[in-house]
Amino acid sequence: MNTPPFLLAAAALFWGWQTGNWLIAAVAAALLEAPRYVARRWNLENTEFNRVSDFCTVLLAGVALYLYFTFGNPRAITLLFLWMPLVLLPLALAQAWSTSRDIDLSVLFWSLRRNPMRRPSRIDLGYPAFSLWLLGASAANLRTDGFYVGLSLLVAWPLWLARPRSFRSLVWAGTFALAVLAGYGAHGGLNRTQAWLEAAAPEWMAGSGARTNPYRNTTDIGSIGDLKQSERIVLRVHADAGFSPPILLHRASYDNYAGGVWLARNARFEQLAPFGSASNWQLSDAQQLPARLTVHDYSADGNPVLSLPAGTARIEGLSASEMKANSLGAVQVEHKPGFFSYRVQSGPVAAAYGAPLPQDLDIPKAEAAAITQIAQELRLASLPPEQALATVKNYFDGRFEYATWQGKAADGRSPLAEFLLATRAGHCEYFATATVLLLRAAGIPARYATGFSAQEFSKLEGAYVVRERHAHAWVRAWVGGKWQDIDTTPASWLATESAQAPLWAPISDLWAWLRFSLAQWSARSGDRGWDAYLAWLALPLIMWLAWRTFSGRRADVKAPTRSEAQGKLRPGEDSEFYLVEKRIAELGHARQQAQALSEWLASIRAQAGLEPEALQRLARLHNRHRFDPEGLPVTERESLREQAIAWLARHPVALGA
Amino acid sequence: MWRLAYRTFSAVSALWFWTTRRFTAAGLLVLGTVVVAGALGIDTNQTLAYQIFTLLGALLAAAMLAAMLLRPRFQVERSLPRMVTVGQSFSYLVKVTNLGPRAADGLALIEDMSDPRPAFAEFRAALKFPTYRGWWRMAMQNQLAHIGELALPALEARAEAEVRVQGLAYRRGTLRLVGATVARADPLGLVRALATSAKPDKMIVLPRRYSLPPPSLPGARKYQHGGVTLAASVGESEEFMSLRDYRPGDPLQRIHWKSFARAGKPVVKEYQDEFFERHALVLDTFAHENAAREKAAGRDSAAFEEAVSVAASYACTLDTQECLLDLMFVGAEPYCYTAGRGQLQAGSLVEILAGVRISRGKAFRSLHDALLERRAALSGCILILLAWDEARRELVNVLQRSGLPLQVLLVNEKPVDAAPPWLHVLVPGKIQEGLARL
Repeated sequence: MNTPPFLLAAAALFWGWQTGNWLIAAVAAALLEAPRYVARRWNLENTEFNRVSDFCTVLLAGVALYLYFTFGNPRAITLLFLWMPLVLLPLALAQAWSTSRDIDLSVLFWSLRRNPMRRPSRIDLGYPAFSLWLLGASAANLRTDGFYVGLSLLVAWPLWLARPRSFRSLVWAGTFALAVLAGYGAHGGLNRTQAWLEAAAPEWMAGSGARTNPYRNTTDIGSIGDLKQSERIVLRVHADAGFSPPILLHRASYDNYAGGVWLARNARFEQLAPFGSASNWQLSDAQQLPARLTVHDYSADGNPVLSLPAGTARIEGLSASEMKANSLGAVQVEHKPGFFSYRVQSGPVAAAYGAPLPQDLDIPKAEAAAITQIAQELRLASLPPEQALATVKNYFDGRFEYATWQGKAADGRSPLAEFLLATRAGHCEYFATATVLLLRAAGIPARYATGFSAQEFSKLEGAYVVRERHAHAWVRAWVGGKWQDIDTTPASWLATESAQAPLWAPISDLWAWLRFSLAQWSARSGDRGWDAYLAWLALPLIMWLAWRTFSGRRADVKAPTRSEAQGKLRPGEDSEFYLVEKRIAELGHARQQAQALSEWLASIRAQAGLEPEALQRLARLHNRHRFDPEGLPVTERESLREQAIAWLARHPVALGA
Repeated sequence: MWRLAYRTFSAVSALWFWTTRRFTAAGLLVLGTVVVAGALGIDTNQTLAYQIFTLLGALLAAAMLAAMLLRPRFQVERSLPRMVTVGQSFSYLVKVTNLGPRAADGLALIEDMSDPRPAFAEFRAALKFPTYRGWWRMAMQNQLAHIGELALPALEARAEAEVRVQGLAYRRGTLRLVGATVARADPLGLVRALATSAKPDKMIVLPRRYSLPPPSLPGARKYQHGGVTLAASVGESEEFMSLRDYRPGDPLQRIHWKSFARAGKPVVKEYQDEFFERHALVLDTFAHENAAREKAAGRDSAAFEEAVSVAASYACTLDTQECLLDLMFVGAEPYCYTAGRGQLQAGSLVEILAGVRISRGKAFRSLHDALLERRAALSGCILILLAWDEARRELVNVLQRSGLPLQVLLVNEKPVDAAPPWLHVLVPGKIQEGLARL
């Protein structure tokens, strides 16, 4: 390896620190650095390197598939990078323990094995491996400043050693420090920019409809053009007879609306304690729980918000390290990314969620005019709550239609007012928002609820499949002393959106089901501890590969140790003249291959400051020391040494410093 | 689509060229890591790869800025060989002088060769479908040689160093060096500042030569009408040179009877004479139709390259002390170059062969006519053909009927059905074996 001593070990240990796999990192570090101290090497050829490389490729593909089916993207990519240094470690070790200083590029690329390059190209795996360890460490996502500090030190190390010496050390240090500071500022900026973009962009853009922010919901109200929604399956729901479609699966509710954004104000999350086993959780103390439902969910980035039917009292079979709920009915768990499932028991809605608050009656000023106008038309203020509710439902039922396309609102009118007064067509967010505000105008506390509407039953899977386009918004209204789910969106919305499904939807559904089934299988085998067996299965494979690679016909090559080499010195090889020759080469007058010493000395005679006479004297002594069978007498040998050292002292390589 | 593909490929290879010149090996690794870290860290909440991206990106930016501030000044002087040979490595000395006021290290010498990227017409004609792989292969084919980048020793202010540059010639032709660049790494050692001095120079890359068995050229001496103007003497000199087998036309009084008795066949004494033999070395430059279609316009087929090599081998091996050798081929027009007897040197013929290209837009007939024009002066002829079709058979028949001794070599991938026994078929890649069987 061409890396400085211990750099790779440090990178591996850095990875161990970030990922928590100290033991593995320490073993890898020891294996990578040991060749510096062990003389034994193996004389590997391209065939052996190809074998190791192919093994690593297969292993990488296997790990990639396993991660993809278990965690899905993008988590699988992150984990793949995390483990990549280990997966490719056999190849790095093969080079480190072989007599080759580098490997042929065709070892890494199949295409080059079939069509070799005109000029073979070789690569040392030292620094690429170093990069991989750093990238792997970054994938652990240990969000402390320690990462950046460690990264800067690890990068500084080889750069410092390989720096051009003609610049002052201070120049190097200044430039590096400047870059480190700029990098620090930039990465903070990048992170904040992403947070800002996510807050500003609608949900579907910020991270797909499957991700829910329980504090804020940026709607598509006011977006012009067609609403694009995905066919991707996000949930699978097994429901018993207590549920009839459509089943509204609630994720989060919000109580404050302004300019197309719904917010959950003062809805603090309270931690819930598991009961019975660590995987069972209680949301309310309702005793009668007739309806049961199982949800299979997927979270790309961890800590998901659960999709729960109204009146959920218990959640079972969910091994999360923490569960918390807010007064608006959102339940979030601390869970790693990937597939997860839970069973839900629900009963009467009763007092499952917090009692209404004054803000559940707020109407934003921007929408007040249109809302008041409609409320007056419907005489909502004078009606009792139940009747007002029925009037609002009726109002939307007959005169409004579902549409995913929106035009530009007339000047001075908000998109919601345009929907209510002019177009009378929109998607569920318009209906839900308008209903919430009209009910509030009628004095009924109401909240904006989001989640999914499960109504597509898949015979293939024997369950309701919930797609991203089934994401829905509805209203939670406080009527008759309890919260009720009210959906005013015309029932045709699902049919309208189903019509937009692409032709290949059945194929992608089948693929999604296969992935889901494999993930379930993998989760079950993980529960039974099969994962460990799989890892143990890989070990004999690696040992077999090591045996195939390192044993066999090839004789082991033992590099001569320093003491052995000293014992076999050729006469005169200890001559100090070689140091002089090296110094002259450093000064830019290297002796060419096959150039006789005398020729070379004659060619540099004209160079100023090299003291040709002194060199001639040295060369004469050197030649006698080297070739005279009698050798040099002790005094002359000493003279050669002294003269050479004196010459070296007079000709330092001090550059520009 | 072709135009777009051409522009894209052109831009990509220009970017690649720029990158490999501007970045040191460490810089290239950092650049690669920046790209991967950028892709991996696109979501800053998922991984910390964005921190690698920003740190290494900032390092590259700082290095670029520093490299922009460097103003390296160097002088480069080469001592080039005039000729090199295909498939062989060559080396030459280069003297680099630091003209700057300060010492410099982290230096590398890059030889700038002419742009190998194909022209649009060539690109369009050569490929059935525009792929970058095809483009890359064409650019590689246009590259006559590889001259590696060379690390230079540290140079004090105003100091000079002499280094040996190594190269490897791939294809015959004229290798043009358009300039020489000295690259100096920035303080971080990632990006390089370039000092390019326009030092146009050229080398001739000669075709590969094979060793031939001692050629025994049949054929009679011919009086060279009009003489060879630069011949050392006129008529037949009486200076004895050697003994050789009798050839029809040799006078009887030249027979060396003792040797005749010993050898059992007529042997004649050879004198320095002016009635010398004149052989034609004829190179067929008319690529077979298929070869022309497969390769781009201006690109030589593998068979043609081998044919040129065979011709060069003959040009080098034949002793032009004794005879004249006419190298004949058709380029833009029929050419004939004569070596021997104070005319061109054999080396010059090889040099000419370095520049021979496949003839396009001309019929084989032009070579046929040019050869027959000279028939009277010739004592023998070596024909190196690329195909065995009607036109070529006719030429051989005409020459055979006229009594001209012939050696016919066919360089072809495929075996020829019902080949006459005197036709020597040489297979590209196995030329040396073929020639050894002659």
